[in-house]
Amino acid sequence: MTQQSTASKQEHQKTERLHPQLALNVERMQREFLNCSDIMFRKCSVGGMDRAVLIYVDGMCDVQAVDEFVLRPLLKHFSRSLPKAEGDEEELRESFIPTLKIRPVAETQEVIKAVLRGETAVFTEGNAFALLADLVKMEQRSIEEATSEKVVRGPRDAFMESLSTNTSLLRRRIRSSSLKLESMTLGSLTETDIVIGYMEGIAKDSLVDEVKARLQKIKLDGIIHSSNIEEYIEDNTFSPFPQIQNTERPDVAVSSLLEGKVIIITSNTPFVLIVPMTYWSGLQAVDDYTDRFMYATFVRWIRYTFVHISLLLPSLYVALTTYHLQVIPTPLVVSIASAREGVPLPAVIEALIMEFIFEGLREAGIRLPQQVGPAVSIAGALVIGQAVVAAGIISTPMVIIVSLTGIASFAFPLYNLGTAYRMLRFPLLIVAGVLGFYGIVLFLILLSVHMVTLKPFGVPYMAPYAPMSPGNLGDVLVRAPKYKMRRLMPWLAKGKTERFPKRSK
Amino acid sequence: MFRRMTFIFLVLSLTLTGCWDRQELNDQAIVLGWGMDLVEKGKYLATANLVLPLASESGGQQGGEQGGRSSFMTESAYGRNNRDAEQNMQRKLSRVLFPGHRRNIFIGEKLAEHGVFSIMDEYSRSPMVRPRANMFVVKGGTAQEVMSLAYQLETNPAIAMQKIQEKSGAPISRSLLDFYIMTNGTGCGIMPAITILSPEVKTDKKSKNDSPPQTTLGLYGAAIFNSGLRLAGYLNYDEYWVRLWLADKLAFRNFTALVNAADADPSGGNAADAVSGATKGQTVSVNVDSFHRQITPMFQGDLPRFRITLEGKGYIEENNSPLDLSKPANVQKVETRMNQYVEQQVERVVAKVQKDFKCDILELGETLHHRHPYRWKKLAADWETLFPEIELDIAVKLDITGTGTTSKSLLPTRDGGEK
Repeated sequence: MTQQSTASKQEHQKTERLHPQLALNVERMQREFLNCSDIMFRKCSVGGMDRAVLIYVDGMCDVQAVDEFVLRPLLKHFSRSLPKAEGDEEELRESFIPTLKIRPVAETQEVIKAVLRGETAVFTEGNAFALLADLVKMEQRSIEEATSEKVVRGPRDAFMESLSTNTSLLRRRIRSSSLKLESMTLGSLTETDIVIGYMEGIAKDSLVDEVKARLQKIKLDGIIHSSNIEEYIEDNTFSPFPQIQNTERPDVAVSSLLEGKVIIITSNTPFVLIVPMTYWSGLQAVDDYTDRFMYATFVRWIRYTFVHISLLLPSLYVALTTYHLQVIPTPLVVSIASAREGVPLPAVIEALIMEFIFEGLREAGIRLPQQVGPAVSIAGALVIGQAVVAAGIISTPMVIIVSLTGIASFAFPLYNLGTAYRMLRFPLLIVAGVLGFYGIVLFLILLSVHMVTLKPFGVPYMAPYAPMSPGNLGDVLVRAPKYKMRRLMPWLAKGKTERFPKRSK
Repeated sequence: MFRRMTFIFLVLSLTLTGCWDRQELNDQAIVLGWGMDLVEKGKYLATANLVLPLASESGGQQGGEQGGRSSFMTESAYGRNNRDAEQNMQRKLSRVLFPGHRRNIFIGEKLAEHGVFSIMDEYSRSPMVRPRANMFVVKGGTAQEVMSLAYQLETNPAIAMQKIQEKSGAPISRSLLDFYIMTNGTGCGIMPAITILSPEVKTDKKSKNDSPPQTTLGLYGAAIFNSGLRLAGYLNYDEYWVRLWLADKLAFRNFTALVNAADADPSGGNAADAVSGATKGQTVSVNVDSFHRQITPMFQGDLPRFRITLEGKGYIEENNSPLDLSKPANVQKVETRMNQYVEQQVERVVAKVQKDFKCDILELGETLHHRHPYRWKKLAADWETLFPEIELDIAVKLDITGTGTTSKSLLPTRDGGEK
């Protein structure tokens, strides 16, 4: 059925207006909401005749408020002015329904949409309009700690499913009118609310316009998570690297906003998208900015080392032990040789098997119900750590390599950057097994070429290193003291790049 | 689409070149040491010292009745040169010989006397070998004898030799490369010499677990090769350090000289006493761990002479003399005596090199080459005949910076000592 027929139906009904007769309107609504058991019709009968009908979605409106501010004044109004059939809009709205957000709407389709959003519609006899009271109250969890981005020191609150809560978390942090939050609706059936946030005066207009244009191009029936949007607006889908950052943390979103980036908040998703993403921002953790700068730099280097370990270690091991034995120090080669003695598989196959098992365990560990989780890790530890070595199928150094790589692949602050590396490990491993160092170097060259060609939303992915922007290096390989990090990236900033005057310490 | 296909084919073509030298670790016999002996003219006996991975694993884990010491094996073969012998050896081995970790090369004395020119090319030509290897001459024996000997502290005699050499004052172990460099300079070469040492006193094993000293490997000193790359002679262990010092390669050395009672008297004693101990004296040991040398060529007419200044810093580690070292004047006396002693040693060794071996292993020619390149051009051709006659002016300046943890001896004052 039925996108076509839905569309034509909508086309037909676009200009349909409400009827002054209450019964007709109610009948029209009942037709619309046929078989929707969650849509409630509440009739107000005074003096044996239906004077008004309230329509709302069960569970989405604040029942107490509707009772107090809509239903009760309504009944009072009708019982007082019993003979008067035609009430006028002003009177009804201003005097009898004392709530903040109320508006009269005359178009049928608009009323339907509003009801579906959770507003309460009040139809009255003799009026060709409905009053929409915005008394939406949905069930929602309270603000909790971010689960995917943990910090030692720093704010604990995280975004959640409710859009208005999310915007309030931002507004709480940026009390400036230059924080613009523009809203739009996407998804022909889901009608998902989306808010585009940016700092006026910092973010480039071209970037904001581009984001809006790309979002408007999306023709989807439904948007379920923010990730649905992500794949529609990113520049290069055929890249292992994420080009749009996502975060659960308002503080990350705010700092991105101040850098001139644009955020996209999608309702019903606790993950906010940040565009454009640069490679280095995926390697910066919140704690980098709360720790002392020397320690932050130290930790950052550890992270960078582990990032490379997660990509390279198994391949280096395979390449070294099968092609370049002379590079390993003699005592190490002897101990590796004795550990590998009797292992029936070539090193590449050994590594591939172990990496495969590790990835499988990781996947199973995420998907399994909580109660079964420990069973998997016990089995995994026993299978990987003990049995395969004892049985002589896999050598001990390989177990060390794989577990180290496994740990390293979780050192990424941004989860989906880690998955990119985790995936790239496999082709690299095969190349290393076939071509040795030569292959590794070739692969890394291809990878670097790919990475420098990425330009999400016109901003170079590897900036500020490639192309080089000396003023912004304070937050890449080192984490400079905060008063040194005073420049915005020229690709992001609209006008001048200084954020604050020099040495305002 | 076309671009994508091109790219895929490009990537695929990379794989065509792959795998050709892939060699699993367990299909390789790792060579740790390589020995060459001369059998007769044109026929060599090669010995290889191989890692036994199985033994080193079980040896480490279980100990076992074999003591876990048999983690190496030696294999040998005849051949007309290195590669030929290697090929002949391969027919006895189930794994490919892998020389990438061949860090020790042993030369039998007979081969050294006959000349090493005929075998040394391979050690630098093959892409698999490492130039940072050590080369040893086996004094009074064959390479195979040395390589077959189990060395107790290390799992492998080849590794043991390299470590012994490093612990004997020569900091960097790359005597092969140094040999190449030297022979290209003045034509002469030097490499460490090793020998098999029997215990000084033979002690019988009385029970199963006794461990009396055994016949073992040791550093003899250095073997000197003349410009024909034939063995010219040896410097023994007590002479080798002189060459190392002059080449600026000495890292540490302990000097023990006699300081007699007469030294308590400022005017007494002479250099001969310090060395011979003719008068009643006792020993003082100075541990020197910082060395510096300066070789200055000077010209008298066309002939060069050299002023060699040897400097060192050290501290007194043992004092059996009656001197009270808490007095700076006495430390001064030790220093003077030490300088006399070391100077005499150096002069003796240098004279031996000049007169007996006639090989410039002291890098005098190289120094001249660096300082006076144009004059060197004229002298280079005759250097071999000039070198033995060159005048050397040697001065030793040791600086004693400390007297250890005690200044005055903890023992009561002895015979002839100061009060």
